[in-house]
Amino acid sequence: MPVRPFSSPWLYALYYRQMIYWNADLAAKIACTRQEMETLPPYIDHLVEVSRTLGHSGIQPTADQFASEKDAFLRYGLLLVSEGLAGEILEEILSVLLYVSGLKGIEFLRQCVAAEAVLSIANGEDEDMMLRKLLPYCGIDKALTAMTKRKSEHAD
Amino acid sequence: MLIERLAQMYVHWGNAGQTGEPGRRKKDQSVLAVHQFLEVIENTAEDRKALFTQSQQSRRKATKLAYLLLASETEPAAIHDAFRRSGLLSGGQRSNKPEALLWLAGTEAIARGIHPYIVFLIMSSYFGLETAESEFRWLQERTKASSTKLEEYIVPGDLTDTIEEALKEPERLQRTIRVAGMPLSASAFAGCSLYYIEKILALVGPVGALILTEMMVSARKRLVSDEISTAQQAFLDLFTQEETEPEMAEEETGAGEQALPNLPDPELIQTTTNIVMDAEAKILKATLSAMSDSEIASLLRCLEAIAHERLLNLISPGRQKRVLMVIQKTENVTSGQMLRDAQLFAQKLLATYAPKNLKPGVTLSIPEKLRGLISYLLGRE
Repeated sequence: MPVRPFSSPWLYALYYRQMIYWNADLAAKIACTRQEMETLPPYIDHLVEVSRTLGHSGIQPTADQFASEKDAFLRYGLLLVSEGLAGEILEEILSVLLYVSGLKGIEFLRQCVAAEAVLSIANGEDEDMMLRKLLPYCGIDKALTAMTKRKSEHAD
Repeated sequence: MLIERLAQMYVHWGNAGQTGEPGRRKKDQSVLAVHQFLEVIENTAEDRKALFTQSQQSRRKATKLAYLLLASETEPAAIHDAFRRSGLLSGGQRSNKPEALLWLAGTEAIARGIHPYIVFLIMSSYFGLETAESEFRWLQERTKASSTKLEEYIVPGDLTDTIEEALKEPERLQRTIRVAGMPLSASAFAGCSLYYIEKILALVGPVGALILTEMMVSARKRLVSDEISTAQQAFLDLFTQEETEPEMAEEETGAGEQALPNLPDPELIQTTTNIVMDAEAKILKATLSAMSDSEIASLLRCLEAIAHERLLNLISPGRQKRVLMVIQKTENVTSGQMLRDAQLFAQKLLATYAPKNLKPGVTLSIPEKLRGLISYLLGRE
């Protein structure tokens, strides 16, 4: 069953402050089923892994560095990062790409998450900060649980 | 934030998909027009007469307007108005809207002094991911034909002395370039020796390298040695900050949590109180009914007494007792937890404001003052 705009907690978190600019067209485009939402956490794990790898090895501005990345949106975003573009410019480009994107539902949501991850990588944010931005896309309950779990792991 | 920007685009321009995908031929023509724009800007940016001529020769209304506005050196803020007044962005011209937005974005970016290559990347993103990536590859190829060359020119300064050390941490240097932005980075690198410039340029892709090179050439023409030294100092400050900031943030957070675990944040309390006092009673009541007793108890901790009264008046006497019992049982909370509680309430309040069935193009009808307060509260970290 599709999740109606504002009927689910994950939307609350997703639209923290931006929710007040909420628009029905965007709501319809981003709506997806709970089952589809289950695929988001593994995707976020992948994005964190990419960020971790780039953090260790640096971004090599070679033509084929991201050739193995199958996710076209992420690949293009990382290519732009490798050119040394500032976060502000990247945000402008990525938001336009999302605006004109023909995808809907979970595929579109994944693009949104990928775009946030690209910006996070470009701005050199650490893993915690990145997760704070990405996890709310999974829903506030999942995000809070994941963050609390991480916090207790760190405390241990 | 990215998603906020996207939401604003939807609010301002509506759904891009409503206008229909342009046909292949039309898309190719539009891409060619953007190629031509890049060419013209590179060759005639300072030549107003040539830009006027281009405007006259252009067949498309949006392209014509773009060249005309640049030829008349229109302020970036006025460019938006000009496009709006032209009717290109209005309902009657909806079939041309993405193209009009593309030219508006390109013209504004050039007027803001953004490098033409970056403007090209912004403009080509309006064609969608596939075309944007192929145009990016085209641009990478195009950089190979560039003849821009730098000559040896060294300005003694902080960066000149430390660049060799900095290059030992390429990832950090790459990050500093992105954080500083290309104009500042190029001004700083303009005083470095060619040997080191080559190493720096190898840290970014061919498009970024050419942009930096052209900006360095420009900086050497515009800036005196002292200004380049100042840019070097500013860049180096950022580079140093990149190393110390995370550690400092960690230390500050740690110290703050330990020393001031329960200190309420007066600003948070003031903002949350104002939200409660300004929200319509009907909406507030509906919001409270969607909250648990413990959530209401948590919210009460973030409010001044005057707001307690309003809030408690909106729930039944039985529930009032239950909430007060929860408060008595609850231990003190940290300021971070209080912020999260207040934000959760703000999110639920927003959800109540949203009608059950939003129609396309409709935005939430929240009073302006309340909108500002909620936005501020939700934006806090």
